[in-house]
Amino acid sequence: MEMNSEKKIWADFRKGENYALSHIYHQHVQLLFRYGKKFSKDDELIKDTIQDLFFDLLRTRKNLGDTDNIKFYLIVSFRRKLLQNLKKQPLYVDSEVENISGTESVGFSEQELNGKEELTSREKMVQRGIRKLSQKQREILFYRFTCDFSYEQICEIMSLKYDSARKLNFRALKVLKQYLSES
Amino acid sequence: MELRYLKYSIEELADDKRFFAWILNGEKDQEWKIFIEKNPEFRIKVKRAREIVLSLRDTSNILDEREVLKMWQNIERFDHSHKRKTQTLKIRRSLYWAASFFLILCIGALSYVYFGARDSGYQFTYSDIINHNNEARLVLSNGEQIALKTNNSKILLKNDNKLVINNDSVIDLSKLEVRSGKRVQMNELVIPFGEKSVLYLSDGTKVWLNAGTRFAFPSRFTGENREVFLQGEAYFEVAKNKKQPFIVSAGQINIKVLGTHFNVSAYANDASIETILLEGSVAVRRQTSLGLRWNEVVLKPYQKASFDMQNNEVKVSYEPGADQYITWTEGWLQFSQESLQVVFAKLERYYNVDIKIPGNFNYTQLISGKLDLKKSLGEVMNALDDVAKFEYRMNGDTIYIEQN
Repeated sequence: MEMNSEKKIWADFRKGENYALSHIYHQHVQLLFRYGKKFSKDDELIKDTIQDLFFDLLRTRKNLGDTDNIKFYLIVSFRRKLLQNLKKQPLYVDSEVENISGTESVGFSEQELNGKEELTSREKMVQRGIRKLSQKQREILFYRFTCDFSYEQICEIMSLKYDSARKLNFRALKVLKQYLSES
Repeated sequence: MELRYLKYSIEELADDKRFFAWILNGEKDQEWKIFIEKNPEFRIKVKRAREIVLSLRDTSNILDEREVLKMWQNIERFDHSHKRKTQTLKIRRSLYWAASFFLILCIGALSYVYFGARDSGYQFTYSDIINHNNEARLVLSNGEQIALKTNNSKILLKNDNKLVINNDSVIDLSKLEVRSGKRVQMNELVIPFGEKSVLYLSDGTKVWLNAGTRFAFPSRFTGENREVFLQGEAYFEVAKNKKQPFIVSAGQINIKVLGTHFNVSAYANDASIETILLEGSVAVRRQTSLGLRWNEVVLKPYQKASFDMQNNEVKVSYEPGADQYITWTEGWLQFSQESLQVVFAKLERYYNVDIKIPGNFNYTQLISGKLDLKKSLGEVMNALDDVAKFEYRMNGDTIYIEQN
């Protein structure tokens, strides 16, 4: 339906339409939570950050810019917020968080990489490969394959140059391919 | 399909947007399949790339529904209090909102409980969807039957009591009205399995009727309410009129709306009636056991009310994929994490076939993707058995499924 286009929903959200808020929340809440889980094991912190994100959107809704990709807009804002909140946390931080506060690199944890309950044996092979990847490689795969983001968008999120983003992604895929063909 | 794909590595293939769209949404399915058939050496690459794409795609819902709801309530509350603060000269805006309510309602149906005629207080002229030549037909209030001849027919009820079929034949309903007694006389539209139709009611409301559906409506809405009766599935875009609420009666429940868009699916052989709302507000009502008053559930956007006819219970849950419930109006079906059982039940209705599934069939597999209903059943089944692990055999109108 034409009225469901992202641009229209976003514009309606800015106008204050109830349905648009509901749509944006319900379409993305699971993705945001899953994404948050890659950075932190602290469910409460992730949920608080999601709520904060929406509070912010509502507070500033009239001044928000245009977008035709709501998912991208949310992921970018959520990432910024989550990293801030993780930094604010007291010092019982685990290694992942330290990593973030230090170098701005993201701790994409492996055990949360795929929440699928039942994996086929082939998928398990891929999973084994994923464990061998760097955090950045895992992160880019998430943007590319779960979020459907373009390289331009990924470059913006991860502050990478186009060529390095492609290289990062292809090296990761190559590792997975090797794990698949070993069988 | 472009030949350059043959030179692609597995990585390049997995990273290709069009390959992606095929694996995940079945886009250009035929072209890909033909291409692979012509280039058998390409098949193994496709297989590997597909495995990579599918295992990297992470769509699991790991956040508990109750948590989703709790957070939503917080956000809504924040929204309301924030709006109240900023609402000084905004009365006009609230009017604007009311005018643009948009919602989807879906009433679903799957076991062998008969409901409809007796419960909704309306008796359809014919007890069965199928007549001898199984064609879509209009039954006028005087009993006259008109065959619609084409699938995807378009019927327009005009203000001057004229009814137009497919921009072609015109029927003057005012001549029929004369013999109507105290009760509003209804016209009926019967859509057999395998077809659908669009109907514009006299108030401007637009109704899409899905396969295997009966729908009763007056030539004009004269009473306190605009009441129509449904058995099957329909999508409504209701013309707004607060003074004359629009009511869809479907079996033991009815849905009261005030000018909005929604989808209702209420097949006679389903165990539960499901109502899904996309936007706005709608009351799903059922009579108390004594039939003295109505129990109401008011739905919020993206909520689903499932009315279980056996237990006479209504459960409300969130349905983030509500849009998928009306894709049939555009001629395709979209599933996300749906069981094969549900997919088969829908295909049976759209293609008017019988799908036989062995008793020991394993349903644990969940299907995601799009099916183009304009394609032949064979093509659709081929697409499905590629994704799900089964084989099938077609024998006339019966399809036998075998576990692979």
